[in-house]
Amino acid sequence: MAGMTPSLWAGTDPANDAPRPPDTAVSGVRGAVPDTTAEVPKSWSDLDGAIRSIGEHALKMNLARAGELTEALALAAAGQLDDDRRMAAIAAAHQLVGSAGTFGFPGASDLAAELERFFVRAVFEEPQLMAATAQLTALFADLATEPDY
Amino acid sequence: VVTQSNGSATTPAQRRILVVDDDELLREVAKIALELVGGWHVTTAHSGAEALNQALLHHPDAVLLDVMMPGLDGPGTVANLRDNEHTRDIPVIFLTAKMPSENRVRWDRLGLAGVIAKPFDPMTLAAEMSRLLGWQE
Repeated sequence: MAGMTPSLWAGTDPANDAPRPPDTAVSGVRGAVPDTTAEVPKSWSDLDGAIRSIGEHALKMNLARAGELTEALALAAAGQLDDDRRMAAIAAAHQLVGSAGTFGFPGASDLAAELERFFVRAVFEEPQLMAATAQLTALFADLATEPDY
Repeated sequence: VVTQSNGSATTPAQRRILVVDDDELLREVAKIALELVGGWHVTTAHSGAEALNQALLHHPDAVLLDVMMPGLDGPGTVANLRDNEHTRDIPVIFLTAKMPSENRVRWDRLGLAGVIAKPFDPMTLAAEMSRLLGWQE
């Protein structure tokens, strides 16, 4: 089997950015330059609407995932986080990374990645717990802002 | 009609993609993105086990596969696809939020068509897949 080259890793290498839509793409979409609606391809405007609609549901789900992380963090601080709850927290944080970022909350996505690493490492000392608490607070604050599509 | 390097001979409109993700909303937005922007026919699966059934049933032109799923995960799903003569040649692209460098070495052995990072941009998802698969839409 041939080995994978860096060009196969879309979105993971700054020197290898995937092709972006033309600058006449949908207004308000991440990375796009606003333009007149008349020049927006119908499929893209339909997609933009679908993303926003699904994004409303995703936000509720992501707030629930952040709630799970809050509970897990409290248990960790109390020295009562068992392995099942820790794995559930890792899964919740991991899903937050993908979902929050895709639905317009890149900051929350980055913070969720930090929290995923926190639960994977499982070092629940005061400095780590304080950092995780700050990250979780910032994550909730980011989810309370308008999505950045 | 164009014959691709993977042996499929479909036009862009006929292409069938299987999207596999345990997150229902990400699955849905990927499906809509690939249908609206790519113009492809998309089926979905919520687990690795369901993906294996769908792949046998529909023999898609490509699979967009989440890595971290309960039960059969992405690498396990690819291993099963490769073990079956009816599905071993289907190109697979991983869609994942987990990108540590050590995974690259391990995943090289799976013969992936590529990897797309989560979070993904729905607007460019079809273009990224086309590029990784060598499709000229």
